[in-house]
Amino acid sequence: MNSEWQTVLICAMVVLLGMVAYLVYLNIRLNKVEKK
Amino acid sequence: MNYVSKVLAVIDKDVRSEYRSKYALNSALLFCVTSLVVVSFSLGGSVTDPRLQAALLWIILFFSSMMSLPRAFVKEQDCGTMNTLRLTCEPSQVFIGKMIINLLLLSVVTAIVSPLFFILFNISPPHPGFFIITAASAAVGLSAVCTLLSAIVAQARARGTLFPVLAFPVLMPVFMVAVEATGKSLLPQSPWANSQLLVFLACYAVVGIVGGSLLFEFVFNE
Amino acid sequence: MPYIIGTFIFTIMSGVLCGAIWFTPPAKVLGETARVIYFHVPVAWISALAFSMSLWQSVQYLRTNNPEHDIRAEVSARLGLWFCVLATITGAVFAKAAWNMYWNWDPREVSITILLLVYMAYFGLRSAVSDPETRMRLAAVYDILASFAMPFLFFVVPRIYSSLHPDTVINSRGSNKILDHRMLLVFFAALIGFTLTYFWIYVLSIRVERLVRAREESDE
Repeated sequence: MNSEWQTVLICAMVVLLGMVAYLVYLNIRLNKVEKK
Repeated sequence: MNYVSKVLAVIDKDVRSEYRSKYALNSALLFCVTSLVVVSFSLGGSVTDPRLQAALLWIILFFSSMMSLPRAFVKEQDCGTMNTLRLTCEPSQVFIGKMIINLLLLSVVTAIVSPLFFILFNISPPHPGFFIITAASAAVGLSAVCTLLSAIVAQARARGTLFPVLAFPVLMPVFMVAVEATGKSLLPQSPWANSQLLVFLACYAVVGIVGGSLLFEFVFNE
Repeated sequence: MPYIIGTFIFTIMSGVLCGAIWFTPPAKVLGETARVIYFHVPVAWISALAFSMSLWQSVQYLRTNNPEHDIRAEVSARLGLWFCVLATITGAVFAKAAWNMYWNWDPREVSITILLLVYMAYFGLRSAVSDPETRMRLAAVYDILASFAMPFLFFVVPRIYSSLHPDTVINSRGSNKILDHRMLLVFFAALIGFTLTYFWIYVLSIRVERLVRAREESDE
């Protein structure tokens, strides 16, 4: 696996991590608002 | 009054008001003739590919129906006669009546525009029967769907632009198949080998009528 | 509990990513470009799934007049639109890489264009109606009408166009039999991972939409 693919993989993993983090954050925020 | 006479009454009312003003028919014809002239002039009658000819014809017919068919309900909404219709008739009667009106309008326009088209482009259609059946079944499907959609659009804002936006995706199958079938009818060899295209248009028309009648009462009744 | 599911989804999806790039071999004919299959197909599948869900919710709305169904219909339509856009873009990129043209109007591409137009028309309709109840009713009707028309497109287009034009997508898939078990594994993992991700986003979006509507109502 050459360095180009490695770059692609790293970028994709970062995007995925960001997505998941955002969803978890959204979940927490929603929980807070709905409890009110 | 029984069912059929109510439907006829709906049709009658529209035919009479149309006869007085001839607005819808005139504007639809005017649009078709204008675009026909523009297309014919700019292409200089040098279009020989039957598929291209078919596409041009249906583009013109299509856009003119986008302009003229919504009026079926927009006029009612604006003049306040929608409630009269709601009180006196069942939704399905209104739907079928309006659909027949639209079908008549579309048929008249097509009957006038197609020969003009053939004349301007120097086409003598080798298989007119196939073309007529294509146009007829496409028109039924078109008017059924457009009647339902015009009822939807009458209750919305920005009607003029909304109607083509809503109509085009739903009518794409008719458009594509009609262009294909018309193209085949303009070729010298027999188009009847492609009768599955006609079957398709007929099925679409049936689904359009059935689906339209089912859905119409949700649009019409509040 | 959501954290467990979230972690699970994350694991699957990152596994899919690594698998797509590292673990699977390149395809026989298309080479490295075939790796897009692991992303393009699941995204298109989800778009269709979202549309079916939206249709079902629209039918339920017309039956029960419960605004909850309209919320679900709108949310799944919105997500479906996004995934449809993704599917179209990945498809076009793949087409450029594999056959050197971004867009060829072959049956798949026609169908996805119509799907995009229907979704966008749905939202156009929603924004053009001011009264909320009318909006929900008309949107539901349009959703159902559009899905009456769709089968014609999906089943007719191959039959017509196969007589005239070669179908670039199906041809290549035929010669590119996914026999390698590694590819199958990653592919199905991708399907599952994307579907789970979609449902996660869907559930959250419904909650958000409910709150947004509640706030709009209290504003009036």
